[in-house]
Amino acid sequence: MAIRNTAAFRPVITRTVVSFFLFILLFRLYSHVLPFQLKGPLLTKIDLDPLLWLYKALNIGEVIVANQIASCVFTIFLFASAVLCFAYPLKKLFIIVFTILFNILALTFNLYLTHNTHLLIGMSIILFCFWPAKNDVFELLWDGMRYFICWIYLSSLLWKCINGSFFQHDFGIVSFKANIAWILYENPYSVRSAAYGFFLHHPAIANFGAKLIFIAEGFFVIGFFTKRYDTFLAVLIIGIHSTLWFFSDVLFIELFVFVFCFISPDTWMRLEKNMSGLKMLSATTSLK
Amino acid sequence: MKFNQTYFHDVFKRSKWCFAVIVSFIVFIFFANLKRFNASPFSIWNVYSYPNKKDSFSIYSLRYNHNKAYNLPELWNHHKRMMFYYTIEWYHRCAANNFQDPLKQSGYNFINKRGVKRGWLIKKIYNTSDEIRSYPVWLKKYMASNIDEKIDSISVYKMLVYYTNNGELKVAKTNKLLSVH
Repeated sequence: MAIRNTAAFRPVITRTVVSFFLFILLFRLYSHVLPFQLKGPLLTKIDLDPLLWLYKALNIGEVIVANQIASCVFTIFLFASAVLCFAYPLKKLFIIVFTILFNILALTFNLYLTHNTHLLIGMSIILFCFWPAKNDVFELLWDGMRYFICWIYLSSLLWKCINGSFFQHDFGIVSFKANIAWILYENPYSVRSAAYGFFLHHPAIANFGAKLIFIAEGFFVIGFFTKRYDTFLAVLIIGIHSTLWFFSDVLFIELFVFVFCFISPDTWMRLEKNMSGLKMLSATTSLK
Repeated sequence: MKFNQTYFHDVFKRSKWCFAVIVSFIVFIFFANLKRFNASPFSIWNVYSYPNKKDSFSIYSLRYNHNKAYNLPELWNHHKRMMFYYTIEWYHRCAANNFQDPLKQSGYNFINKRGVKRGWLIKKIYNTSDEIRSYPVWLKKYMASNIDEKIDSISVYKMLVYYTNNGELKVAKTNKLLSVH
């Protein structure tokens, strides 16, 4: 399978991806989960994770979480480096700084959330594709990231087969009941609870739906053999996580970043044309 | 499919160091999966992979300022409520373990097995009893900024719930986990 010709569109790809990062950072600001908003938590949870051990050994948390001034400075640098990456998409220094800061953010979030979530992992890894100075190498990494995403979803199905949830006939309804219990308890008369009531009365649909999601993850195997169905795979990513939100109350919005890796060079070309069209329009308007 | 038609062939042809990085990455991922070594940022993608056979479930409920419920079910508030719902579960596990970090012993064994005596590292990595005990006060402070309201008091309850045959949610047991005034 030939490597997609994306080198020429590196600026527009970088800008689009960084825009998504900025959106996520703003969403986190709204959600009160940026380090300076955490009010200096002390409780952490670390299992056998070398990077988190290093984080603790180097006292990073004491600087960017416990110290309010340092925490604010960290957040300003994080946003500023993202904006600079958008403005200068080919400047290596900005993307490297942003990657380091974003990875620190991801570690901080998981550490003080006391749960090793997968929310920011995709975003943490994808930034490394923009590190090479040569556009040609970027193209290789960008395509490699696409394969890695196919592996992520396929391995997710494989783990369900290995660990057994795939073979549990009522996994869908049991998992559904566990995750939505608090919503039913706190909001018994809401529209959402009424919708959940339907699935509680028809557990077979919830069980069948869970199996469909598992199989949808398996579809990513085709990504290893052809790029013809990339649009379908991109839609699947959105579909899987939207369904998970409704049935499991888990919002993996950060993983939507994977969608960008399944966009074809033709689409990037169109987007670039539209962007340069917009630029020309604004230049003409300002001249008038 | 022949090797010269694959992604790896193209990478090898165009950049040797890039090929080395990608192969190292794949080897690491392979062994991490094989050993079930769930480390940042190369986590194993095994969410929802274990069977779930429960009949009853635990839920946490936070009440503040005279029994006002902390209740943000909206899609856009998902991340806002995360800090409470995840940390309370871990705090409860630590508190139930006599205010000791339940993972401390396994970390200690892991380090000791490798012949490294690093008591300071263990002290640094895992929660001390004082850190665990300070959680309720932190939670009150954090919730005040999270909901942007002045908070005089908070209480957290843990409920054991179950579903009746017609899908109705029932509370079997309620425990008060913490209270701060």
